[in-house]
Amino acid sequence: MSKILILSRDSDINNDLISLLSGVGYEAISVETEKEAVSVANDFSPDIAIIDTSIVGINISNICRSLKLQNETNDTQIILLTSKDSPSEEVLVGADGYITKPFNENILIATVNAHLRIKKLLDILYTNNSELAKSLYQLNVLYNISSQLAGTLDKTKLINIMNTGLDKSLNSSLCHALIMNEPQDATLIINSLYPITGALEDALKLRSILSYKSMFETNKLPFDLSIGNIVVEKHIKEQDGLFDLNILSWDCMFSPISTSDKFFGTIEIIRKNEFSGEDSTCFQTVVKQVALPLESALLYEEIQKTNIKLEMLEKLKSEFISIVSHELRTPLTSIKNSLEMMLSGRMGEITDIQDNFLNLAKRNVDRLAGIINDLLDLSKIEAGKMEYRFEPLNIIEPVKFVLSTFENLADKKNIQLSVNSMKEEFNVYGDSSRIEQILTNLVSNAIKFTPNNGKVTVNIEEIKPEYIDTTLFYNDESFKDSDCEFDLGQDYVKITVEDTGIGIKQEDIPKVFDKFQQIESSLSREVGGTGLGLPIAMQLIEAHKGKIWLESEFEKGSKFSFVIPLLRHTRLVTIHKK
Amino acid sequence: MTESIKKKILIVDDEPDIVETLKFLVESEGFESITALDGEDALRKAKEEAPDIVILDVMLPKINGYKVCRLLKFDNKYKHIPILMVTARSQEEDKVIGEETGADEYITKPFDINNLLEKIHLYLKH
Repeated sequence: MSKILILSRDSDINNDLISLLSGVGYEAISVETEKEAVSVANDFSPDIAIIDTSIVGINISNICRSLKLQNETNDTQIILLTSKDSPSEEVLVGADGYITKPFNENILIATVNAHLRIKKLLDILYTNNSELAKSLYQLNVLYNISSQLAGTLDKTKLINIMNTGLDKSLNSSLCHALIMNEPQDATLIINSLYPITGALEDALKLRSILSYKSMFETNKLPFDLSIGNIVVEKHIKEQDGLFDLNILSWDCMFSPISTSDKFFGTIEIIRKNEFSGEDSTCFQTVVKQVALPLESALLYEEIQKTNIKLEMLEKLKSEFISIVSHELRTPLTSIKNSLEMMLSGRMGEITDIQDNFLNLAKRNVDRLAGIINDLLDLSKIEAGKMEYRFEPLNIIEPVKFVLSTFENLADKKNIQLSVNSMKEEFNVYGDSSRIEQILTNLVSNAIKFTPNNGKVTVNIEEIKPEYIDTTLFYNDESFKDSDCEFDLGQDYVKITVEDTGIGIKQEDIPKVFDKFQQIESSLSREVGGTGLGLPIAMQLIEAHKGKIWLESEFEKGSKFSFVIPLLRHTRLVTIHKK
Repeated sequence: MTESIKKKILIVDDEPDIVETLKFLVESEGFESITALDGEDALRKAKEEAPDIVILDVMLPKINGYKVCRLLKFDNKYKHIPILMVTARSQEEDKVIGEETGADEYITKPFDINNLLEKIHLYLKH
């Protein structure tokens, strides 16, 4: 029923108006003073106030302002009952409508009705506006939550963000979330406006575990949870109040926190005021939004655990390598030294047969030491722990040095060992000891596999990348990580080690760079080795941004070639400046 | 008289077998030898016996080889004694540490006895 307040000193007018308005079905009351009007209006919250301006001493603009400023009456429509001689500047302020005295009853009712319609429209507008504002606020909160959720992979933080978000957007009195921890216990996080009684805490525990179990009905529970294994974590906002069991009769919303394949817990929020449809949507959205990052957090946790395990394994591996390095080499040193000293004749004359067998033992000790070194090198390379001392150097120097160390061996087999170089200087950026290692490997293989009176030739030349035949590269899928794209503006030095040895069958060529791939041939077994030399050489060359490949003809000979980028002039200059 | 005084070599290694081999080796070359099995003993003998050269293992009980080397090389009284560091490690970083501690030479196990003798003769000539 529409409510109308009448302010007039004239009781005739008051009575007339009350009977007139009641007659058309409105609730009307009247007051006589300005003060009374304001206070009655506050309780009564009238839709319309009719003010008689003929009251002596009344300040019309004052009372209009008072009514408009008062919460309950700020949209009350004010109609002034004026006489023809009222000062117009006074009455034009603050009022919504005017009727002149003496009034015509029909006009008055029509005016009142018109203002009531305005009032109703204003009310609807106001409600819509406030709902819009609320939705906007919720949207803002949702947006904030989602950006916060994206920023962390910490489970506790995620839950906190969810709780804060729900609290902000839904203004709940109490929110409790049951979060599963592995393997069988759970945390009940209670966010409450006021402290809660012990009975309520127990009730919430029971309520959450029952809701959890009822969700899965007869299916197997993802977590086998009993009430004794729930740890309660409470966050209380204000102290001047207390919640007891009564709040369980308030409006509430419940939801599982889960993705399609992972279950994290449940959540329920309780509020005295009823939740609207929008509130429910907002609640569901927040809870859904937290589930996904929770799943990521879980995966992240697993990855971290795996990483720690891997780190431990890596540590074990390097410890093992260190043990191999020290514990195997130390006894080898003693054996080798003893053999060498006996062979040197310091311990007295030895017979030819003794000499023969001591040499045999020494050869095998050397071989064993070589195998240990190869294994260590390869494991270091694979762990990325191989250390290089790169510096500008003339590659001819390590080549010549390595060849000089093989002169004796070549002479023994009467192998012609020679080097041909286009120029006296090929500057590269490299580690000379690693380059020596590569060459030692290639040259020793060449001599090893070349029968007596053969030839081993090392060629050094400059090559442009477009002349490098990339189809010869070893391209096992597992080694694809190193790209064989050459920088076309870059010149390379190409070193070729060619022998007149037993050669390698076409189908065996890819195997030579593969770990532990010994070529099945009686001769290769006779000369021994781990078969790791070439894979190591390949990795060392790739560390120098180079490539190695093999061309071979069975029973005619093999040709190993590798390229390493040449230092550009500009680079050499900058290095020298340093 | 001074001509006939034998050059004295201090051999330090925690492996008795290696100590014995090296002792035999240097004595058969006509040197006198003193031995130590740990860092503490090595340091004491280096100071008391004033050897002409030290063959020093890195992995030693009590005081490790690097430290022994540093303590000797940073002491004006002993820094002239040549030190040949011997280790089973061959990593570059160890070599760097070895160089920083002031060792004169760095030898990796298993070493070649002729190579070692060559180095000893080289440093004794100085």
